[in-house]
Amino acid sequence: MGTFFQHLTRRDFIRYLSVGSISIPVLMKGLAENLMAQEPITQQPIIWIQGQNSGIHSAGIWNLPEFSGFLEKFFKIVPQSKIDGDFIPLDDSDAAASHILILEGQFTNDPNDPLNSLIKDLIVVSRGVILLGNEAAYGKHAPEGFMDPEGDLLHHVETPFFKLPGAPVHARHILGMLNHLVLYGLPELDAYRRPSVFYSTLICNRCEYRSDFEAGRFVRYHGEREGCLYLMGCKGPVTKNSCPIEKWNGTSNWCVGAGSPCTGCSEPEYPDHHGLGMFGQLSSNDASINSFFVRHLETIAKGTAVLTVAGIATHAISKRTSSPLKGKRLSILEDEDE
Amino acid sequence: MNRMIVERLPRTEGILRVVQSDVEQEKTVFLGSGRSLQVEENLVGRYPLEAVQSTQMLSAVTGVSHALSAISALESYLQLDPTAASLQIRQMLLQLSTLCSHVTHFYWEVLPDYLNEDHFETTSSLKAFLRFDFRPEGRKKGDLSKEAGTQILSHIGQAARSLDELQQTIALIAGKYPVIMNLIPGGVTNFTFERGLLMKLLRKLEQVKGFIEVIWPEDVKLFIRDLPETVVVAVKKADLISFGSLSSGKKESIDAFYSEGVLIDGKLEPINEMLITESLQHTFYLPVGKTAGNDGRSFDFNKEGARTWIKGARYDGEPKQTGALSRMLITHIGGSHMEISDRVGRMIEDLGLSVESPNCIASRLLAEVFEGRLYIKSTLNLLLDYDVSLSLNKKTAFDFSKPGSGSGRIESPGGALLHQVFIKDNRITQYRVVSSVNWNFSSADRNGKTGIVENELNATLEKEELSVTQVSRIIHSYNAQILDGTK
Repeated sequence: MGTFFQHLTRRDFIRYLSVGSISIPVLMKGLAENLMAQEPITQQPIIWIQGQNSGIHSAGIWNLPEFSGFLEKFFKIVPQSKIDGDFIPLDDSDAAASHILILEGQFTNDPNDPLNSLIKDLIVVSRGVILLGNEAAYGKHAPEGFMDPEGDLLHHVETPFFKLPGAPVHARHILGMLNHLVLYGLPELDAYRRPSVFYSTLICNRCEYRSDFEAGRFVRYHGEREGCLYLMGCKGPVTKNSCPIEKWNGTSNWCVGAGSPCTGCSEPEYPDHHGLGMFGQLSSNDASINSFFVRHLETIAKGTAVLTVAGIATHAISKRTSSPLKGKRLSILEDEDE
Repeated sequence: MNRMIVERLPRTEGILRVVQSDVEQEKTVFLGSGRSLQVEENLVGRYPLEAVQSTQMLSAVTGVSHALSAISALESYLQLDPTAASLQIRQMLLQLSTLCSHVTHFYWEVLPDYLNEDHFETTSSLKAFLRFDFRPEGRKKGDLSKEAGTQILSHIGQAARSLDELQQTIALIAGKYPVIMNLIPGGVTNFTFERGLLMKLLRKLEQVKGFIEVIWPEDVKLFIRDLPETVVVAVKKADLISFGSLSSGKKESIDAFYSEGVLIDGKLEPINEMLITESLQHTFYLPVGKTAGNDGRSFDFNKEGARTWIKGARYDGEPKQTGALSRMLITHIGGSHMEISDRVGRMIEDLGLSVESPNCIASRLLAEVFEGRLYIKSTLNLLLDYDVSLSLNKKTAFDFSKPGSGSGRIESPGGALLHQVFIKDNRITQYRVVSSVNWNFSSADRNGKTGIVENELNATLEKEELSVTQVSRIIHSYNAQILDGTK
C-alpha cells in the first residue's frame, strides 16, 4: 500500500478519496497521514452553522481523529462564535471570500434572530451551500416559526447549493462532497438536488435480500425468519441512497441488517411517504415487485371482488327472474291439469 | 433592566440563553431557550411505532434513551412484555449510549471551560474540538493548571477513539448510531444475535475497557484535585428523582442497579406518575384549552412573560434534580445495591460532603465516572452470559386500533425520562415527553419555584457577579442538551 501511495500525486490521491467509496476506509486505516504529508496546500474556508439541532448529523464523524485531521489539513473552519459576533466584514476577510457554507439543523424565520440575518448575508457570498440533514434539506416540512432554507433563501440567489439529507446524514457523504467541491466544484445532482454519486441507486437494488425480493419470499412478521422486509413496510424500493454498500459507523451493519425495514429517511417525502408513514407497505406497483403473486396481488384482489359482485348480481337477477317463470310453469301445468 | 449573559451556550444541542435581570437592586438570573421543534405535536396523527424513530432526533446523546422510553410506552399500551433476550439487548444499548454521553460530557462539554492557550502549547489536541469551533483564549480564573490540563488533554485522542468504538458497538447491535433501528414492541427486530456477533462486540468493548475503567476516572480525579472550587455546594437542599434501572432480563437481577424513587423532605417515596406535572409559566405554551392563531396552535410567540420552550417538570408541585448523581444517591438511600451504596458513601466522604447536601460539579462528574465503570462491567457480563437460543421478539403483530394509553420511564444519561402516548385507531392522538432537561433546566413556575440549574445560578449570583465562564461551567456540568427539553 505504501508503494502505491508513494507513486500518487496529492491530486491523484484526493481524486481517489473523492470517489467516495473508499474515503472513509482509507482515512480510517490511517493512510490519510500519507496525504497530509504531501505539499502544502491552500485551505478551503468552511463556515459550518448549526441552527436548532441535536447534532445527530455530525455525531458519527467528529470522533474519528483522522476526519478532524483531514478537515484541518484541507479546510479552514471558521468558528461560528466569530461569525455570530464581529466576524463580518465579509468583503475583506479571507474566510468569507469564497467559503463553503454548511447549514445544519433548523433556523428560525424570526428577523430579530441574529443567525437569520447572518445566513442571508453569507449565502450571497458563498461559493456553495450544503444543506445538511433533513431539517435543513427539506425545510418545507419545518414547523411554524422555522424557515425553509431552499424555498425562502436559496431560490432567490444564484449561489449553487445541494442537499445531503438523511436521519442522520452518512459521514462519507459529507467527506466525499467536501472532496468533490475542492477538486471539481459542484457535483452532479438529481432532481432533488442531492449528489448523484450517493443518491442515484435504489436501496433495494443493492440490498443483501434482493434475491428474496425477486423471488417473492417476504418476512411477514418480525422473528419469522431472515429475509426481505417489503411486507413490513420497507421503503428500499423507492429510496435512493448508498446505505447497503457503505453501511454505518464503520461497521458491517445498517438498518435492514438489523432487521428493521428501511424508513426512506433521505427521501423528500420522509416520514409521511404520501400517507404511508414510515412503516406502511408500498403498493406492488410502487415497489416494482417481480414476484408473480405479489405483483398481481392487487389485480387478483380486484378480479376476485369483481367476480364476487358479478356472482351476487347474477344470483340476484336469476332469483328475481326465476320466480315469475316458476309461476308461469305452474300455471301452464295447471292449464294442462285442467 | 435585563442583561444577556449568554446568547447561545456553546457545545450544547439546541439554544440556551442566560439573562440577568436587575430590578430595584434585586438581581436574578433566568434561562431562555430556542424555539420548539414541536416533535410532540408532529407525532399526533402518526402511526405509533414512528414515535420510536422520531423522538430520537431530539438528541444525539440521549436519542437511544428516547427510543427505549418510547418503546416501553407502546408496550405498556399493548400490555406486551418484551422477551428476556431483548431486555438484555436493550440494557446493553442503554448502557453503551450512556457511556458515549458521559465521555462526551466530560471531555467535550465540561473540560473546554477550564482550558486556555497554555494547555495547547505542546499538543495538537485542538483539532479534537473542531466540532465545537472551540478556540482557547488567555488564562482565566479557575482554569486548570498547565500540568493538569496538558495531562488530561493528552488523552483526548483516546477518548475520541473510545467513543468511536462504542458507537460502532451500538451500530453492530442496532443498525446505526445515533439513531437506532431495532426496537419493536415485545423485543428487537434483529434477525439473529449469534456467537460471531457476540465475539465482535466483546472485542470492541475490550478495546475501550481500559479507557473507561482507568484513564477517564484518573482524568476526572486529577481535574477535581486541581480545582477544589468544583467541590463547593451552591444549593444545600437536594430534592432528587430517579426512575430506576431497566430490567436486565436476567433472573437474578444483579444488573438492575438503580432503585426508583423520589426524595421528599429527606424521605424516599415510590414514584406516582400521576404527580408528574409540567408548568407552562414563562413558556410560550398557552394554558390547556386555549389556542392562538387561525390554526388553533397551542403556543403564542407574543405571550407575556414568555422566554422559554422548556416546560417545567414538577413532582407534586416541586422541582426535582435528576441525573447520574441523583439515581446513585436514591439507590444509596434506598440501600438496594450494596456496591453503589458503598461507593457513593465513600465518594461523598472523600469530597467532604454530606448525603443531605451532595450536589456540586465534582460529585456530578464523579457519579458519571462511577456509573461508567459499572456499565462497562455490566455490558461485558451481559454479553458473556447471553444465551443465543433465546427468542428475540414475540413473533406477533401489533394491534394499535383500540383507544388507550401507555407510558415508559427510563433513566437516560441526563436523568429521568418519561414518554406517554395516547392511541386510537392506529394513530397517536397525544404524545408527551418529559426529559431530564425539563427537570433541571426549567424556569420558575407560578409558585416562583425555579428549576435546579436556575436555582444554582441564582445562589451563585448571591455571592458574586456571574461571568460568562462561570455560567458556562455550572450549566455544562449538568447534561445540557437543551433541544431535548424543548421538543
